Amino acid sequence: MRARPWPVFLARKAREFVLAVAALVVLTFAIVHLIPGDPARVIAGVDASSEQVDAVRTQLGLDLPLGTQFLDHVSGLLRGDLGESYRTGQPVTDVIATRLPFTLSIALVGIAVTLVVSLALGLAVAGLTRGNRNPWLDSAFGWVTAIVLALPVYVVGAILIVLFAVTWRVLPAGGASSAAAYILPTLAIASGPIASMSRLVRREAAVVLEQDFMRTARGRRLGRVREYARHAVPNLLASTLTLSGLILAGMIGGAIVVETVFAWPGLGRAVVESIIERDYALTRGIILVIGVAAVTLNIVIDIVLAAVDPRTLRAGRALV
Amino acid sequence: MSTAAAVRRPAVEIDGLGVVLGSGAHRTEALRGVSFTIAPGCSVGLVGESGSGKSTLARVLAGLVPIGSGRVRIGDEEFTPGTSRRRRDPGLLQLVPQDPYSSLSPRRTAGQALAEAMDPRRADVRAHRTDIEEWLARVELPAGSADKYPHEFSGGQRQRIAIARALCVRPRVVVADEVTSALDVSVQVEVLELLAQLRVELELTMLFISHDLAVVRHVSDEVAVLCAGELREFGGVRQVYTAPRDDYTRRLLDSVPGGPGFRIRA
Amino acid sequence: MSTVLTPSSAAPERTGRVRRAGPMLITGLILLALLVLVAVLAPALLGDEARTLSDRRLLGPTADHPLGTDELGRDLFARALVATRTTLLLTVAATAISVVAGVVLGLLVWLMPQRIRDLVLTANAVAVAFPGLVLALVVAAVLGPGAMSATVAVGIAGIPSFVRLTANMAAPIMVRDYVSTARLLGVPRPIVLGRHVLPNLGGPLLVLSANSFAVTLTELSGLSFIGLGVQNPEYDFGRLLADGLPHVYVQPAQIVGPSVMLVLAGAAAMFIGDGLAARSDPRLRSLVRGRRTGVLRPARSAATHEPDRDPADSALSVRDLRVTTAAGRELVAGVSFDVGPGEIVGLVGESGSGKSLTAMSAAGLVPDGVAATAGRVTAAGHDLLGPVSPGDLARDVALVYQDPISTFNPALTLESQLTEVPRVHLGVHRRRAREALAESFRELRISSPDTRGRQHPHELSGGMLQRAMIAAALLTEAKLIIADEPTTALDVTVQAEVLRRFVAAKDTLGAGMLFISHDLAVVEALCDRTLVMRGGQVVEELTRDQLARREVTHPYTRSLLAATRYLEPTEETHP
Repeated sequence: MRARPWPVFLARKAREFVLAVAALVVLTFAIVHLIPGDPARVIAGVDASSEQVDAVRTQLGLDLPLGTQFLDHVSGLLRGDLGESYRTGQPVTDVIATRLPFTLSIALVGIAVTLVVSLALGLAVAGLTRGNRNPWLDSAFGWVTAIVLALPVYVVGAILIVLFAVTWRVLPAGGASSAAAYILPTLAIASGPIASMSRLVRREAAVVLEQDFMRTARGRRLGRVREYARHAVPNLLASTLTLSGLILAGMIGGAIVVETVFAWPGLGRAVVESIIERDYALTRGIILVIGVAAVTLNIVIDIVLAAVDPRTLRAGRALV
Repeated sequence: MSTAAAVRRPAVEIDGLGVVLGSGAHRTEALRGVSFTIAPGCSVGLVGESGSGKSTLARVLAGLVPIGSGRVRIGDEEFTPGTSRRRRDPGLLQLVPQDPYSSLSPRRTAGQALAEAMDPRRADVRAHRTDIEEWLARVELPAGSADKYPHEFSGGQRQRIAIARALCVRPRVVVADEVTSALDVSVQVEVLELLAQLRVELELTMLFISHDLAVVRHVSDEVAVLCAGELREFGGVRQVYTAPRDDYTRRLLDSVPGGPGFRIRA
Repeated sequence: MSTVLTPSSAAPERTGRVRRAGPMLITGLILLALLVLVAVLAPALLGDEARTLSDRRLLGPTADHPLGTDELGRDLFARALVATRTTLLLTVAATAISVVAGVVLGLLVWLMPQRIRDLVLTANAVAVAFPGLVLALVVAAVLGPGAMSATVAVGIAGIPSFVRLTANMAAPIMVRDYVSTARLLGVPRPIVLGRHVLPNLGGPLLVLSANSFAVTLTELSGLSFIGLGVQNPEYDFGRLLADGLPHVYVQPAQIVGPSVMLVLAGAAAMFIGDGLAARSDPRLRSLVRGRRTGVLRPARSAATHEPDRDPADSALSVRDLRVTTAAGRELVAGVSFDVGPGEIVGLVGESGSGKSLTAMSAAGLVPDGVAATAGRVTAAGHDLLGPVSPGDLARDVALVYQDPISTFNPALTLESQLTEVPRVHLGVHRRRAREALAESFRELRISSPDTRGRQHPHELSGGMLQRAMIAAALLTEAKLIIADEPTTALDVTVQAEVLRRFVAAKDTLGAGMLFISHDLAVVEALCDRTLVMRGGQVVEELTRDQLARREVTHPYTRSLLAATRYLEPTEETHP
């Protein structure tokens, strides 16, 4: 343990990843089976005849024993086969392959913007309000972030469209045709996470700045900027990153909603349509992909965290 | 059992006690073959530095840590590695914890804390009002303390409440775990004097744990010295302080500030 | 024991204060009251107007229709207000599902054996990491689109984070002594949870519930917005927004009603949550405006103090030092003393005596929340009341603090911290500084001095860390060492050796030393002169001989001495 913490740590992370993905596979498989009543009837529709319902049942393999169905599902997954869309007959993997890049791109751009902006903003506010300095900034920051947090992604998106696309006509309101089309959706999904993460950074920074070792650093009279950069930031990263995984996971949810606002041809739109149309193979596949993305994101954050803070490496995780 | 035999029989018997904490890379042997006894009405001071296993021993006696090897007897109850962790009779043993700020719930009055000890399920203050006031007076708290919340008391007063809470159950054995280490020197003395007085008054059987050899002197008949999980010395107070048999005890004595062996400057 | 006082630990100032509701809490409560009023009244008063179809379609704002009409000619202002009831009811229901189920489960895990608890919490951690909206989508997929299923979906999706929060907040309470004591007293576990754990979670849970309400509102309306929530002809804010959006090019006013209402409802919840949190946070409560804290300034009456000795001759010279809280309470009330080169001066007192504040202020490190004034503070020849070069000060004044673990930065190696002053201020090269540090380590008899510097603080014992701290003083050849209870956190057998190293280092440097302690016995063995502090004042000054002969006059010193004697191993033996 003391000799080589990294292999132990990575093995544990790998185990967590496998467990989480396994849980996801079971969960997505169960979607159809958790439907109250007869899933085949629900899928076929209320007006369908019993022959049609039977046909649906056979087509989806719902007449087979549960164990067989699950094994088929898993072996399909292992072959990279997520089944076919019940409505269009298109392979689910194709749908995902064409739509994933759009969702992924706004989510990743949003995450990058959020991390940079909120770290800088949070630390600056914490430093300026330390020890009850600048009480006006303290309350202004509180009010503004509270209001931004109360703004749902779709409201921000709608406001942005009205302002930039309708009133001033400087940016496109929808579609993913140009680089400029990324600006409004990114702003829309990043605003909430920026508010909550800069609050988090600010709160954590306020705690770190009151630690004894910051007093020690102050005794070395390094100047505020160097004092913060060298002594506060490393300790801040650990606690911030731990919780940012959750905030960033929430951003995936934001990406799904924002696609509706901006008529963006991503996964979010696809999954919503699949649910409305009861196209379960498609729903299953997309939720699995989004879930794996979220789990991966969190594991990556854990690994970055361990690299930043050696104590986490030993403990395995910073928080339960 | 005849009364004469009961008097001679120790109230607490610790025999070859071994405890292992953690597992894998974190595995540590917290206690190794520790044996000693506490006679009824007697008080043993248990001294050791950080990592000596003294708090582990307290937690074993309280049933919070399982026994690894050996056996422990408290009163008529025998505990071995195989003993299931069943609920224990509160009258067997009570603990006075170290930190006066953690030992009382911030949202419950001193009276409620004592009522809980007297009636664990209902914790009805009104039903035990006289008892509660009597006990608070016994630990020399001002009248009217029963309705006050912990934050209205000083650290020393909180420790007095914790002591009253442990004693009002009339347990066969009391374990006091570093009860004065968080207090100012003058307050420490007050709390120690109170305990020394209650010990005689109530004929307490007590295990008094401290990292400070000097602290246990006034409240102990015998002293046990623990180092790295092993019992290094066990003897009467006078003998341990004036003629320690073990090198470690001697070193500990010499390290106490103000003691004859304490030298910093040549 | 004694640490530097911060306003939050200065309890007496706070006890008199009544918990007042801040402007944020008041705003939030007023907003909430208005929304509830609208939810109760609007469906009865405006219900017809909101339902009535007309051929005045997609109008802009007019006097009759402040927000215009929709594509079926219905009044949008009325619709936005009427939708409040549905939205609030569904949000309250979903929030209740998350909070109640989450809190119950989060507490129940503490009734489980540890192995099962760990398993449940790990599984829950995975669920928390999973985006809530996606979890809601799964539930919506199972139950089909609709108001009911959306509410259940969002409610269930919020459970894992409440389980986590409750379990995490309960964790530190479960290891509190009052919980284990209650168990020992024979209180059954479920009663312990109800009597000791839940009441102490009440405040934070209320705050979290308010925040959760805002999140739930967003998610639930989001589901309606994307078409999986409330279905036509029913409508909530999200549904109204979705209906209005396609017409936004023609009539931007279409989205104003639901947007404003959504933001008002969300802001009300956020304000209430933040307001409640601020009320229970002592740091924010003791806010006093107008005074700058964390600074040392010359006293107004500075001129009256004639220099009785050239301050340049002493390692530290302090005259009339006063430290006051932002609220004006005096914690140190006019302290004066000198520390000569090579001299060790002890500062003794119990907690709250102001000894640590005196020491920190003398080093020019006044903590936030208090302000200091003095007639003179000259440390290692530098006048701290005037402009000082930070580099020189950092080089000449070395500090050692009470808790060795927390005074080191846990994220950095020893050498990067201890060689900071030579590297930053003196321009010493990294490698050279590292070698010099190893040399100091060797001098202080620290084992394996050459590799020690590359370790992190948590890998070393407390005694080792305190010696490493004094190594930094050797490194810069400090002229003044200020040590604030440096051995209080150490084992007694380690204490004497660490103190011996301190004295040796001081002798090597010929530096003066200010030694703060609560322990008169330690001070007696160590110091040339001793100042006894109480209530922010020096009550007595004693030489080494006076203390050894017990020639003390002040009653407080006497009682302190008696208490110290009581805690010595033997009464009769003392040279």
